[in-house]
Amino acid sequence: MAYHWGGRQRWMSLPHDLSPDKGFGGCLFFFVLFSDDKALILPCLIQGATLMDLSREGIGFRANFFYRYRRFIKTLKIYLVIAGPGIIVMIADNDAGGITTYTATGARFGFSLIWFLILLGPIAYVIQEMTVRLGAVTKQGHAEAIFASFGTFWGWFSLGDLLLVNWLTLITEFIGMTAALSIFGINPIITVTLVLILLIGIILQGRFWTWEKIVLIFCLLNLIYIPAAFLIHPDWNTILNSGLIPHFQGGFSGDLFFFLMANIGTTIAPWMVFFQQSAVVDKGMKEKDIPWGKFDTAIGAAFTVIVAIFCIVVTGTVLYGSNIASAADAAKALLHINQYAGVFLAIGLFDAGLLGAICISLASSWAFGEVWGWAHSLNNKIKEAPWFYILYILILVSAALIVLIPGAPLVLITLFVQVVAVTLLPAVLVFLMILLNNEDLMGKYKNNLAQNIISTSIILFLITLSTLYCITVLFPNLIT
Amino acid sequence: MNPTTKLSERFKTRIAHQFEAIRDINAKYKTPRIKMTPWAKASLLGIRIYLIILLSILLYRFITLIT
Repeated sequence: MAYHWGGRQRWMSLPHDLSPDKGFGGCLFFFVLFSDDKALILPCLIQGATLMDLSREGIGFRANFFYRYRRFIKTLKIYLVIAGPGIIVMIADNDAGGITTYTATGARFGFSLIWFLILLGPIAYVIQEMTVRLGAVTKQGHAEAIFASFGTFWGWFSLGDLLLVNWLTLITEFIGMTAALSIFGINPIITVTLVLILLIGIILQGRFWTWEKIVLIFCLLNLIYIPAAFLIHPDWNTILNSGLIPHFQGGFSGDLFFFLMANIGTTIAPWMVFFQQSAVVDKGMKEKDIPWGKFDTAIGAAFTVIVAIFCIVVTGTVLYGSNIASAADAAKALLHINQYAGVFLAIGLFDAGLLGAICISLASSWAFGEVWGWAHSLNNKIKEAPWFYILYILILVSAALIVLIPGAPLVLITLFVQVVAVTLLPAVLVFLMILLNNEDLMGKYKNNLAQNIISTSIILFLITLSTLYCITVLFPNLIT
Repeated sequence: MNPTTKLSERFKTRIAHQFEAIRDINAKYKTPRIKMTPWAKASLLGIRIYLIILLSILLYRFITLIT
């Protein structure tokens, strides 16, 4: 059997190791991806040729394909070992508060702020990448690094802030989870109980690796917004035209600033800095792992932006102009339009809350463990690190109980927490910048000039937006 | 000693131990390890002022929203 393309016919001997009986048979994707002769191979495959046929005939690809394939698999295996903290922190960043903010943004401004969310991806990466370096080099969590480097005043300030913001944020995660499952008629008390059992169960199994892989599965579920968007058949041309060109629909207003602030708050939060640095330390990453940690963070940043965009696509397509106060409202409204999309949105909201709860409560426990000198690794059994686990459980249970109080202004808390978090973020970033510029601490891994320029610009950007927000709060008629 | 008193004593001991731990932490991290350059000092002062102003404004906003 011979295959022809463009009048050419090629014959080339197949590397011995590529024969299908050596486990190559199922690798069609990688075969095409790494072959130099795509133009020859693809038509053959379209005509119905199998890899076995190509192999038997020895047709159309260069010998270095196998080398590339093996190298790719080896690289992939190394990445899968290192992968975790970056992806988890970035995807957990799209927590219940985040999803609520995105759905409300989509319903209020349509697709017009998609470009802004795309900008937030690289910004989040730049900040989180610094935590990878700091954790891998110092082998200290962020809380411990602040105490050691800046003394007790800033140490207690950061720890107190972290606990307050994390606890408030954790409440929003439970709000999201209970609201999501209430769509399916599940009582909030049952939801809270089941979630607590699940979260405590995940943490008590006593291995960082197992915990990480379980959480990565929940991270995959966060991508449910992508099929949800395709189910409602959005107009992609409108999305591209309206969403990718930077503009502020309706001009500057207090309302717009509030949404911009909320989006920043949900994309870059103080707990992320503490969580990723502690996770890097707990995972045992070393200086040589830094490039992989950066890559992991970049993948996570891409995913977080993709999820945010698809979330906005869903509500911007179907609910544009509606008064949507929460993601659960959006899911309920969607149920009447497309049942599956509504269900997907509700599942996504629950998953987002769950991921956020896992990471935020751990960030607090890790930080306290570092400062108090408790054993604070997920590799420790409960007997070895009792205070670490007790604090984790206490934080979770107390936040869960607040949600069950009837009449609490839950939507207001959800949006307000994001804003409070973004006002505290500059402090965290300044600590990060000073630490990353310390040669004694970081050695050759300290920030270079370009990184300093970018990081400083981001901090100034955040401070400017925070200040503008405050001006609009105090003088609402000043900017309309 | 009855069980309630025993539990209470144990609780007091725990609390006292935590205060002792705080004192230990304060002693351990009393001296900042990082070299305070003028740039670092100015950044920290700026953040201090910024936070005081911003948190006051946000507190005001929060109170006016819920009342």
